[in-house]
Amino acid sequence: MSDVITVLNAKAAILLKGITDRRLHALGKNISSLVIVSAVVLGTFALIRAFCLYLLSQTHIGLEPLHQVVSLCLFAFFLTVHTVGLVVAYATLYTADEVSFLMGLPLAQGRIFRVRMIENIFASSATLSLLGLAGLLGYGSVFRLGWLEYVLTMFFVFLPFVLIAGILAVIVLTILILLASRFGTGRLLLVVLPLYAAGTFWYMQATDPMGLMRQAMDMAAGKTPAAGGNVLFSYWWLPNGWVAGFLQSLVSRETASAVGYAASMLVLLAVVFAAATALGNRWYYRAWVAATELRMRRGRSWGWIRIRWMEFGRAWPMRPHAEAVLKRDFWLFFRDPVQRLHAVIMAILMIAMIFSLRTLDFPLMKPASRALVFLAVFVFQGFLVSSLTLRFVFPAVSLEGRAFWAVRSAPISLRRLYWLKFVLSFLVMLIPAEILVFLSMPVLRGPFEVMLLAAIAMCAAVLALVSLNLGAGAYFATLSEQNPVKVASSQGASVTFLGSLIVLLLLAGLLAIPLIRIFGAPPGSSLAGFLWLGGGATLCCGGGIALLSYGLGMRSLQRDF
Amino acid sequence: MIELEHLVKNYNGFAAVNDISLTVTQGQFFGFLGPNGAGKTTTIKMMTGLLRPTSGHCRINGFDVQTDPVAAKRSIGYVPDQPYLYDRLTGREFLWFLGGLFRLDRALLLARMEEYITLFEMAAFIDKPAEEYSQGMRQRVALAGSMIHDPQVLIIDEPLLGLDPRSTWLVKATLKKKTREGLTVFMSTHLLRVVEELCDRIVIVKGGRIIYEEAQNDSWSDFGRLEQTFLDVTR
Repeated sequence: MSDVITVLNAKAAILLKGITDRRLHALGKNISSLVIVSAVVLGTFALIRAFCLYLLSQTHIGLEPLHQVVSLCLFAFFLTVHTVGLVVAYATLYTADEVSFLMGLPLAQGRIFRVRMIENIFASSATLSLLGLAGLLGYGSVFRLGWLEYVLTMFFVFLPFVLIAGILAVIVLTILILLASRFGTGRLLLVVLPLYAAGTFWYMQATDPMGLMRQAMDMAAGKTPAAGGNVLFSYWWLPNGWVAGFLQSLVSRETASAVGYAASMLVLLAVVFAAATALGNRWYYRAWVAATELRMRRGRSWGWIRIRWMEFGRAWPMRPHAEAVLKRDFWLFFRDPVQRLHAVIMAILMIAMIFSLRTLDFPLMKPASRALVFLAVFVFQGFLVSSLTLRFVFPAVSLEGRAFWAVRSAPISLRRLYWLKFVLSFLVMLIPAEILVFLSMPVLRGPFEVMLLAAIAMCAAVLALVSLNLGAGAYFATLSEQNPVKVASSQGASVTFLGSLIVLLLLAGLLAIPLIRIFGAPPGSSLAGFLWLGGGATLCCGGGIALLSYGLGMRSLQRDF
Repeated sequence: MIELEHLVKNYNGFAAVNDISLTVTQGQFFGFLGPNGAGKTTTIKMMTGLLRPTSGHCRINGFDVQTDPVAAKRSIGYVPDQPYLYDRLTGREFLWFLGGLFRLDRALLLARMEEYITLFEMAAFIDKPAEEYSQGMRQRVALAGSMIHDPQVLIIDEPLLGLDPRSTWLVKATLKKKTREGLTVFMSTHLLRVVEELCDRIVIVKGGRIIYEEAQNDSWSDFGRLEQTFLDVTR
């Protein structure tokens, strides 16, 4: 418990220092963070409330199916917290200079492990937890939960749920490092990644969420719901189901059942925490040494990475300074195994998204409903692109690192450097984003103009998101941090991500009316006007955000080094 | 030629550099001395464009570093006090990168790279990743990088930090030779023996101000004379 208090004290001191900083730029950061976080929290609250109300009053799906949907959403939430925790934990527990310093002090390894684990949960899941709580409030407002019920849900179910995801991430990572030191990272990843993917796939197959959604859509359309799929696995067997079960019991006033779910959650938390403590006490030092050795081995194993046309000695038909910056950025990215791994994971996510969207079958609906489905698909695609930009574009300026002196003292203008980074990031993000559009939008079965509008809107979204992430990345830059994952999970990154979501909703809002008109137009009529209206509005909006972000980024880049 | 004109740098009301004016003529080896926290590195960072002065001007070969940074930086070679390199690039790739930033012709860059790799005896490690380098190896790569474009002005902050005796001798010999060929060197260091050996002129700064200035003279050959002067004026 003293470990938790130590971390809480430190976090409170840091938070207090940040809030009470009276310098102008700090004040600006705090106010902008507050505005963006408040907007997203309010948005999440409203979205979840509207979603619950829609399912209950429009589709009449009943309490149990509603909580099955809640359980599914919580499964995705758990996976997100767990995965982010896993990624950030490598930096927090195994590569941070702070850990090297602590290891040199007369402190028990288990104590360092526990403190860093709790730090990691704070660092990786604070924003997600905030969104989760906003969602809980949205849900609670539908069922008019009282303050006591909120407090009980938060402390007995929701926070333990987040903690379990975070602690499991640290346990899994520690075991993976120990195994990697024995069997090799490559071989281990070949086994573990498919296992994770297969586990998630199996859960989705076994719980048949598509069947559930089909039933809901049938009910909404006033049809007799089709028989549900072959559900092999109960929604209530995992912690996400316990949170949903607790909520259902709460609104149905089934106290005994609610106590059962809460007790299960707390027991599991205790078991997971005890397991982590035992693991830390016994194996943390060994895992930390193994991680250090793995990093050193990685440094010596560059030999196999040879791409001749990318070598510095090869001449490119472009200006020498541009060539130098592009090649440097390429090699710094390509030689970082974490960057490569994350690029592969993102590519897999993209492919999964394309396949998921292509298998969906949207019946011909009213123009407004079709426009709504288009916008939902667009926002999902944009969400993936904003994750990509946050992970790979946001850290671009920070990754100039402590060697930035070499660029700052060289005869290359910062404007040119910024422009190079922007063009490279924009092109690299635009290509997969447009592929995503062209492969997944045909499911809407709209006229050609719909596809063209989707392509233009995605181009505008990429322009806005890349600019925003590059500009904000320069504004929140930490040149002393070498780990891109830590940069992409910092407070500044969280605020930027929330800003990206607002941008996406703004663009979706601009597309709504032209889309309804395009879907509702009689066959053979000219749609060019609506196309220009929607495309022009999104491009203007994207361009405006790009200009604002450019100003922010350039001013930040010129700061003292 | 280096001209500093009423250079000031304030941090939240604290003057790290407080009205420094000086001129270093072409071919001069200039020693910039002072106790810790005197404002040496801040001054150097303003000269190389890493910091923006609160007021005053800094001109390199007639070009203002703030208003015409690209032209000013073309003639500067710079080695910082902590020469961080890119951990995932080799020393050779770092030199290619710098050569590209200075827009050097490929053949010329290749020739200069080979020249400095030989001169600073870097062949054994230049193709290894920088994350495996010692402080001395980093220092040698950074020094080679600062000279690869044949600058007219070399600004170096503690250039001999972490170097072994042989490397120290190599660097000193190279700097002497380059100064004879017309290179202007602006060096900040705490090694007074090196100053006595290399510099034509020194200034001592304290609290962001110049408190002492002296050109090389016969008294520098008296063992410990410069050290005593430094201790007296910085007391």
